[in-house]
Amino acid sequence: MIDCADSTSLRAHLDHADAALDAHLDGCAACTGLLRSVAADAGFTRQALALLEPAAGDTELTDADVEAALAAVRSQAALAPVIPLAASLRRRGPSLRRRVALAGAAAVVVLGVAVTPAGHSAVAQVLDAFRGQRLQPVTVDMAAWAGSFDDKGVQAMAALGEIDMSDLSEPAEVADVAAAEALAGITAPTLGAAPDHVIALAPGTVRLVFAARNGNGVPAELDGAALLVDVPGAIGAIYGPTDRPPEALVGRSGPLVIRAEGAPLESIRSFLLTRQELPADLRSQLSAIGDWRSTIPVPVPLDGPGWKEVKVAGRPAIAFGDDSGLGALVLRQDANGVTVVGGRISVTRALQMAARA
Amino acid sequence: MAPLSDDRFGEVFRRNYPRLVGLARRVLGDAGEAEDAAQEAMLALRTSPVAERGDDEVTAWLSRVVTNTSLNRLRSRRRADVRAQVVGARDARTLSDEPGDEVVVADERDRGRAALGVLPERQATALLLRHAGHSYREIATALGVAEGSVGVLLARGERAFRRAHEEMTR
Repeated sequence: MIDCADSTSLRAHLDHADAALDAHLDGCAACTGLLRSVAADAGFTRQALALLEPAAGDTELTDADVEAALAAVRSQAALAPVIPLAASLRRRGPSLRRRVALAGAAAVVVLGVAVTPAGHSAVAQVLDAFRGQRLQPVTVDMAAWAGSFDDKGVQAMAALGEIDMSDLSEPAEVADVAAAEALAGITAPTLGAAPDHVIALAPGTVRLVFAARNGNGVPAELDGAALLVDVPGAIGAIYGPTDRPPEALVGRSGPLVIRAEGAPLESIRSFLLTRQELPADLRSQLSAIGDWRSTIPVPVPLDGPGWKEVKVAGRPAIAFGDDSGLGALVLRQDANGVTVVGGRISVTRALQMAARA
Repeated sequence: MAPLSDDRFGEVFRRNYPRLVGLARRVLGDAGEAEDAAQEAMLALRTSPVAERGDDEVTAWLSRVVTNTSLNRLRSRRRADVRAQVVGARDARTLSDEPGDEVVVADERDRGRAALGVLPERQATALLLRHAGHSYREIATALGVAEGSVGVLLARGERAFRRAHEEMTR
């Protein structure tokens, strides 16, 4: 004779009958009562969840539906991790929480390079700011990254203080390149043909004021200190529709500048690099970058499309993707910003376009 | 680790996508949103080390991801007040031309989804997978728990689901 059962084994018994438990139930009123309760919960849930099943024929996807979805995912996979503008077009109006988290993440990533492991130049000490002038790939395990920025990660980042994004606008479609230049405050890249859409982003500043409270880990010396991220103006010329990753995109942004107030940038960076929201491997790579006040780390998916460092029109650049046509992206570091060319094109084509842009 | 080959990805996609859309549809109701959730899960697979594992593990992982993604979407629809969502939807339908029975069923569906949305993630995932016909073993693989623990999740989940559902009915 076995001992009395708990709700776990009784629940499993409902699905996979256990002869020994059956024998026990015959002579045990307590277990029989518990079984009835467990079965009632299970039955109730089964009935309620059965209502959620789509009606027959309602969800049947045709082969063409599946192939279309596969094509969409393939193009997103090729582009999504490295074209923020494409992502913002695909998902208009991200939630404020997500935007805050992403702004925080961007600040963390950029600040990751903002201090060398040992010492700084005299110039850097005087100019307590980061100005993006050089691109450097850092590999990111996207699964770990996504895991870090679940709801908990978002809350942890938001808990560091107050983030003011009121000065930052969403990218907007404008009438033409001239209007984009006026809005973004930069010169547009040279275009080979008239684009189907022109998107522009006005420059703006995101302000993160740290607040030491409720055990959020912010050290007392950073309480009230602020990090100001000057998000540059940007222009994107898009070929093809805007409701999915574009056939081609030629874009340009001004320089990214990050400033500190109320505390040295180094102190803020050191603190942010202790945050567990960043995968350890990424933190290690960021810490190891030498030219800390001018290097923009470019996240490269660990298992994503291949990439190589190249020269385009005499400027250093990073090219992602291959000649499959599934997707490619070229980031060219200019003297005063970054030029981007990408889309559902081959990397050879993207490099040609980037050379002319 | 080598990236997931395009051929392999296509094969995994075709085998799993319709099932994932079905799972997401249970949680979300809306067909388009369910497809978005399923595509999100497939996109995540491309950069996950899981992609190199056996078919069973890939299938289980995708089930968990699409369920979590769908539950997150469900929660974010009206995180602050799921009860208001249920009541509001019911009031809106009462004023519509839907026949009475359909209104009742739609209310029940809303309550079911809202109740799922307040459960701990593992419990909700276990319930959804079990009641979509997955075995204890598949659920255990999807959730990364011992097979013997599935009964715990189901028993606790069903109890919590019923309470939440009844609470929303009051």
